[in-house]
Amino acid sequence: MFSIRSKLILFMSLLIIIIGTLSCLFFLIHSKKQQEKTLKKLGTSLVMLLAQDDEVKQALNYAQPAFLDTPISRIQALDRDEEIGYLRISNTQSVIVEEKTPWIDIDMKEIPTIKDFSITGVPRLDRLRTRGGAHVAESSRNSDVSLSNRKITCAGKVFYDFSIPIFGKQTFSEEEFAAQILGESEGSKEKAQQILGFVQIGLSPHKLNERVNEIIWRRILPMGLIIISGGICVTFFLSKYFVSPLRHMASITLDIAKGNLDRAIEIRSQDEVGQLSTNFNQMTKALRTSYEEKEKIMAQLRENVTELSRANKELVEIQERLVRSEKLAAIGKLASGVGHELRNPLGAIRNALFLIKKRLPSNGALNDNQKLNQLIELIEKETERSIKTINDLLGFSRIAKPTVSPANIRSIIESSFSRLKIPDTIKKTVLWGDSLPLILVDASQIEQVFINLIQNSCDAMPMGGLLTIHAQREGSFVTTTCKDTGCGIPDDIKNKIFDPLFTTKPKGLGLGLAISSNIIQRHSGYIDLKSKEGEGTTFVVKLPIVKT
Amino acid sequence: MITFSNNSNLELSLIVMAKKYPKTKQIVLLWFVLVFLFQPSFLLRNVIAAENTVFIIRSQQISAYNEAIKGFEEGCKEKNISIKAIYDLKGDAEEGKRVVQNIKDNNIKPNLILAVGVLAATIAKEQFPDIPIIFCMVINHERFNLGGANITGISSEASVEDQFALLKELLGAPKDVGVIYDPTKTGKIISEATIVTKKFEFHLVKSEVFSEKDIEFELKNIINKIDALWVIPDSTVITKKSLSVISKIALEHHLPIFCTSDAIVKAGALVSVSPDYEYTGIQAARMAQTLLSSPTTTSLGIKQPDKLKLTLNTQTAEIIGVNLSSMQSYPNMILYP
Repeated sequence: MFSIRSKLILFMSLLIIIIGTLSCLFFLIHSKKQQEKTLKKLGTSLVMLLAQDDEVKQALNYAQPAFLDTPISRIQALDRDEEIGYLRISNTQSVIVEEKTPWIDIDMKEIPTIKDFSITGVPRLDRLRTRGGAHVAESSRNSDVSLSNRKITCAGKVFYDFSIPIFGKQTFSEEEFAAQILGESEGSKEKAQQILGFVQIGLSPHKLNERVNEIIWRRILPMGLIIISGGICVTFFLSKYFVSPLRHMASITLDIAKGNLDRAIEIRSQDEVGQLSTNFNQMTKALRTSYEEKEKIMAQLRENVTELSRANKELVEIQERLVRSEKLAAIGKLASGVGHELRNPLGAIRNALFLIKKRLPSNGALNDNQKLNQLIELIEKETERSIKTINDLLGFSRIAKPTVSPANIRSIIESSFSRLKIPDTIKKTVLWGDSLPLILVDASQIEQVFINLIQNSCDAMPMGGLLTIHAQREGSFVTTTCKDTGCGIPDDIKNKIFDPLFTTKPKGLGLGLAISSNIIQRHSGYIDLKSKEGEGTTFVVKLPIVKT
Repeated sequence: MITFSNNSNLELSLIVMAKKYPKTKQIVLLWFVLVFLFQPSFLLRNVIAAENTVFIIRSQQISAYNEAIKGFEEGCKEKNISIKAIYDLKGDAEEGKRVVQNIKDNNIKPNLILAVGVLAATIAKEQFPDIPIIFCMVINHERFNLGGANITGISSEASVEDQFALLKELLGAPKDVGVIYDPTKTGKIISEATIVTKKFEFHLVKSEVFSEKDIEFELKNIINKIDALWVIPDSTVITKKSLSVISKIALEHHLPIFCTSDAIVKAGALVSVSPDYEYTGIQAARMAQTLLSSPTTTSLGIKQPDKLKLTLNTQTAEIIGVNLSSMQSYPNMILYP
């Protein structure tokens, strides 16, 4: 695509070439007309001089060609550029003198002779006026009435032919006017002026052509070239002058489009481009302000969205906790009721079994007794298990409000380990962060939490594995992770893992993690898990540190 | 007279010489005898020379000029003024020069020249600076600078004041009067007329033209603003073609034209005030007599014509609807047709 500058240069150059050419053409036509006019003036002057010459009139009156020598030589002296091609003086009957320039190869017979006054172009009698007895073209302003002026072609040559009748005596114009004012006299009424003959001069246009050629080569062509080249140069620089601010502006707009709103256009003039630059700078400024405001709003919005999502997350968590708490409360209530109702009968059964066992001989060898003892042991075992379950349920329902005091997380975890039996197949690693602060917790409840977590980890690694405990400070919390390399928890049950009565263990009640979660919440802490099926599970517990 | 005076001086000197030189007494006596014998012929010659000779140069043969010449001839009768020759220039300047050359070649010197017409007046002024000249019948003579120490003239137009006096008599109430003129030719007349019209309470509506072509346009331009048209002797305005146009337009608008030429009245104008041409000749004869009787006076200036005539076109008056009753009493009234 052409740039605007190229288009401008192209268009302006074309325009200048057209204007230059037209100007040259106009000048050429004008010059040619001027030259023709000059030639016509010369022809008119020469022919009129001859026509008014008394010697010519006498020569015509007496038909004496010899009388014409002097007037003709006078006329020839006036023709400095030798433009007279031919000259002919005739009376009304015959040609008196006929001359042609030697270098012109024409036959004078071919040039029409003026014999009749009615020939086209010859001025009519009433168009001529006299002043002081001499012929004057009344309308020297109007060339067509001055005399016959024709272009004739003869033997391939062009001549400007000037013909004029030679009159006898004329009347003084003021006397004509006086006669008109004072009334026409009997003798003066339209007396026909006597035509003595005709003068005919043919001017050759060769000098005219030479002058026109000279004008073309010396004036018009250089002038045209100067106009065109000058015009193109001016256009080149002007276009550069006009387009460069636009180009500069375009580069700046490109930068602005890329986001660099700090760019501004330098204002070099007060014209339209300057005005455009000013407006553009104002627009950029407004855009920058708007962009900054938008950025502020966006940042605010992003912050709000983050806040909102966090709040939402908290809300969800709270909701989950609430649901879980409600569930726990419901279960606790149920467990409490059921526990009370079942614990006493189970206690009675256990006592009864104790008495039965006592009454049975301890060393009896009867098979029946052996079998009975086995059954009684089974009953006792299951009864104990039932009582334990009921106690667990009751314990769950009776989680007391924590009595917090500053405690060391390390001692709590170590205490938890001491109360557990870790299988040999499981390798235990405990990592402590530097200068762990004290946490404000109920140590016994937290200990229970860690017991549950470590136990779950050990349960998840029946074939052995690595158990890693890592405690460290994170902000105003002490974060403890309990990581195993067990089977992991499937994604679809991750959300349910802290729900009461949810368990994946064949003999589990599904209360351990629910109770742990409940305890941690009561301590204003957080418990979460990260697990990938087949790779293991990590429980994260955050507990608040003691505020100093 | 001059010859006589010269002879007396010579005689006196001869007497002195005879007393000084007695031998020449006889010669002196003889001289006296001869003088006595020839004295009557000298006296006769002086009597003949006392009759003043006048040449009349006429521009061309037109009736108005001939009337003036006729008047002059009448006026010269029994006034000891002899018209020696009438030269006709035939309206041609070349002819004029030839005539003047002829007069000069013949070595005849008249006491006075009467130039009739502009051509005659201008040539006479140019060629005879030492002979008193009276010119007449020169239309608009101000244009030709005909003043001079030896030039006396009679204007061929009635004065502007006379013209407007007549117009007022004819039209009555003050009116707007239009005039078309070429300022290069008749600017002076219009300047004078501007003052005169104020005196007569006319308002002059002037329109300048420089070519015959513009006349129709200018006339149409002012025709509705004027009550009468004043045609002055301006060669740009008065041509055969323009006269018919002016008359036609004026008649269409029932507009009276007044002028200084009875020829224009014949062409359709209402009224003209012009000199009585024959009486102009008589007036010129009177002026010639004054000039010739007092050799020290060579010029009487340019005078207004003494007698004017009024030419009225009754046909035009009828078309326009002008009441001619006020004009009936005018002494030199010519009615046309």
